[in-house]
Amino acid sequence: MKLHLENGPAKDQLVATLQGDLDLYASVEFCNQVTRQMEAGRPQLILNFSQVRYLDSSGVGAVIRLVQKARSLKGEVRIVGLAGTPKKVLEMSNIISLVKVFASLDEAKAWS
Amino acid sequence: MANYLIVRKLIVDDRNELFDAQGMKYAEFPSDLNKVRVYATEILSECPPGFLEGNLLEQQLSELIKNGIKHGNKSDPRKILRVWYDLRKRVRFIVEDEGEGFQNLEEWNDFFRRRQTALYQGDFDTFLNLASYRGPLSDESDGGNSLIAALEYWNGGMIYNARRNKVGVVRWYSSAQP
Repeated sequence: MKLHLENGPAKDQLVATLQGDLDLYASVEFCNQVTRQMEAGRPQLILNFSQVRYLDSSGVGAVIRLVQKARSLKGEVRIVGLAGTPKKVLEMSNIISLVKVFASLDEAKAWS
Repeated sequence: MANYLIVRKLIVDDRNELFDAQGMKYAEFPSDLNKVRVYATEILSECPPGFLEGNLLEQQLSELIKNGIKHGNKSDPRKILRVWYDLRKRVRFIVEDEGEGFQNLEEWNDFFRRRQTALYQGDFDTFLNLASYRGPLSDESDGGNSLIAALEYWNGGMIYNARRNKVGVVRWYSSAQP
């Protein structure tokens, strides 16, 4: 899995764009990398899932830890481009209720 | 009118029909955690496309295989993971490891009941704290939620044997498949 991190338009925003499968082989490193950036002053996290086709319980666990981290830093987690198996897995584990889902990256960045 | 929350739970039933392997195909694998998804893909290579639901079936089968290899067989390559499968009309699996069994099954059911109650009551702080199950065998890469999605996905049942090292599951499909 490839991960691209960039700053959002707001100074406390972090945009994480994932490409590939967020599975048991990738989730720990993904979570650690994003957490470090959130702790560096960017707790408003936007996860761009538009190029993610596979999400397993390890990946869901990573999302949960990031929601917990965001909450502890007075931030929140927004998800963009959710579809297919990742969407179904987040729904079946009820974790969809802990994040805000947006249709486009622009909407997620603009929403406040 | 009273409202009730119905919460599913993991069931132990040695004599359940989901353990009847008659007519099922069989495969066995060494306990290599790096090959979890390879094993799942191999089993599903002859699956009718209509059952796959994108890669959702592969994902759910991979979770069963991962649990058996990692938590059951402790990734010991000398230990075998056994899989019986039937991909006709509906999807059925029996997955058996050589481990000591899921000893925290009742504790997990209690955790899941508290988690779903918090969700039902809109208590999101409690729900967030209970979002992942952390048992004595959990590590950093364990999401702690595979069984939660599994109870939803395996809509015809998810049953453990008495020793709790074998699970039987079935998913039914409502429309004409495949």
